[in-house]
Amino acid sequence: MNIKGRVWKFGDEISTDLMMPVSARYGKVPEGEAKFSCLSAIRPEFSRNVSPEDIVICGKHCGAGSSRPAPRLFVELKVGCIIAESFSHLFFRNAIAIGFPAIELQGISHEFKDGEQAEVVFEKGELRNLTSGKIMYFKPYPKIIQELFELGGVKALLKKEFINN
Amino acid sequence: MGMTIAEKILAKNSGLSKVEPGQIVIARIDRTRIVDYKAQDCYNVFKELGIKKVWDPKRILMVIEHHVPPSTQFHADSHVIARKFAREYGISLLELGRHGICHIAFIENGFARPGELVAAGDSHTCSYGAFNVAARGLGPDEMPYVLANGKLWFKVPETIRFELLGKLSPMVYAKDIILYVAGKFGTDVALSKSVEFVGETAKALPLSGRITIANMGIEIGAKFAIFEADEKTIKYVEEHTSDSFEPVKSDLDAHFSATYTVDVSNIGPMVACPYLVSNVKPIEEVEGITIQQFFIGSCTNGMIEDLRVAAMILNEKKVHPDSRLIIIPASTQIYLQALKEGLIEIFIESGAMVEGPACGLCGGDKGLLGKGERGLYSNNRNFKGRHGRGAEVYLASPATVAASAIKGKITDPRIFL
Repeated sequence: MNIKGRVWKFGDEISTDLMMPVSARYGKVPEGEAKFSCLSAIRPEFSRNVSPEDIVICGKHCGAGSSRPAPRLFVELKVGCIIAESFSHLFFRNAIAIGFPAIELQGISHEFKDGEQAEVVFEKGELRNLTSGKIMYFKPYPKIIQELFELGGVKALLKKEFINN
Repeated sequence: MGMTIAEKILAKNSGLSKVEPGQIVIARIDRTRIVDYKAQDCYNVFKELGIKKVWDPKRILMVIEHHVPPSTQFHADSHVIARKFAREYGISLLELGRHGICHIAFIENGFARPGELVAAGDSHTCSYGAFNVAARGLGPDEMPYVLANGKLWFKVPETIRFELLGKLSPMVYAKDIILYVAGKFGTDVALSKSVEFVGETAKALPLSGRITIANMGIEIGAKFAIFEADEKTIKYVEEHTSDSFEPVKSDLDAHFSATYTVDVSNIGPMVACPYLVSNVKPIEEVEGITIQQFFIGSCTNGMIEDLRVAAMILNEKKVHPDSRLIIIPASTQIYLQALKEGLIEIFIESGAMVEGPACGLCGGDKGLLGKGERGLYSNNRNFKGRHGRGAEVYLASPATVAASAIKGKITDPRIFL
């Protein structure tokens, strides 16, 4: 799988409160519009201007805080993947659980500027900065996570196990 | 080499004699819990896949508690499904009026038992570490799997230790310790790790103080935040469950990737400033900041011990005329106890508003701050936007919140000694 798109860069400690604010949860906005609340408090134009396969790059402790399923909004916005210096373990699980790629790569914040073009080649664990030409490498997921990911997430796994039993 | 608490619990529940940090295991979950509005996600998946039973109804607790009584149609409808789910699948349900914030209710109902593994919806599930439980939060997309199968993949975490030494000064509490830790070591000091809080001070802390610290484990990134079980733990758990349990301790030769020593005798009241739990300052540096809304409650600091401290300070005093103080006991049992002890009367006499048990202001959909307002809260998060757009929240202990409510500004509680 390859993903190619514009880089949207954010800082450290981007909480799930910022990614999925309560003000747009619980039926407070019409279905399908909640995605426009994603990161709106710090970057109002992001959710309206992001294109399919664009790549979100964050700093440390990305997805901090609440267990709410913030990766769902990135999927709705058709973001290609999220890359961060480090993730909250909850956000990471929530991403994998729905088959949304979350890649941890130390030093990433120094390798991209907002608006640059990036390409991710998952099979090779390669991340390319198409603007600067630099290539970085990330570790593949452990086997169990890779399998879960390839199935499409934990619901698909449950379905598979349930039907097999 | 020996194993740490988290390693031992994960090894035992994976049927392995030994595990190491970084290893991925499939572990059996001992107990889990569902929160009201999140139950519908699970129910829908169960119905879609035709799953007719949960893995073990006795090991699952459902609580109607997060946003109660419901203020949106979404929540009201989701509670209908939660009740249906509980009824159809034989899951114990704590109904309104018999409820508590899910974490406190889980503990009060004897579900937090030493040596066990818990994975459940809500990030503050790590609170049960106060009772020697390896407990972690999950998002709603993994809960159907846990409810159906009672197992889950885990990456065995590294373990770090905080050795807490020294005696706390008057008006300084567990909340000040964990805020100090977040401020000094950062919100990612324990990122994806298991943290053990040990040492003479950890042992001296009341269970409520251990809950406060374990609860905020997630705020320093922790996967698990665990205390050793002692006579206080065992007495409490034995009073709340008749099932057997087996406390777990790290081996003497276990490997800790870091050990930090914190002398709590040097710590005073601490305040986390907007918008990070690690933006912590000693109270002297923030005294005098005007606050409009004060909150004492939440799974972090809404326990009876917290209410007693608040009542001690508020007794025969008044909340500042330009401020409002909202107090929410964390559970019905705590509410009743506070009533019996006369604490509720003290709060109301002081001019505070007392609400029934719920997440309340911490949930971010109730008691919002208006634009330009400031809050001083006893809960666990002060993130941008969480408690009202254009507002700022500071975090402190119930003592600091109560003292500050009297003055209408951030105030050192030690002036009421």
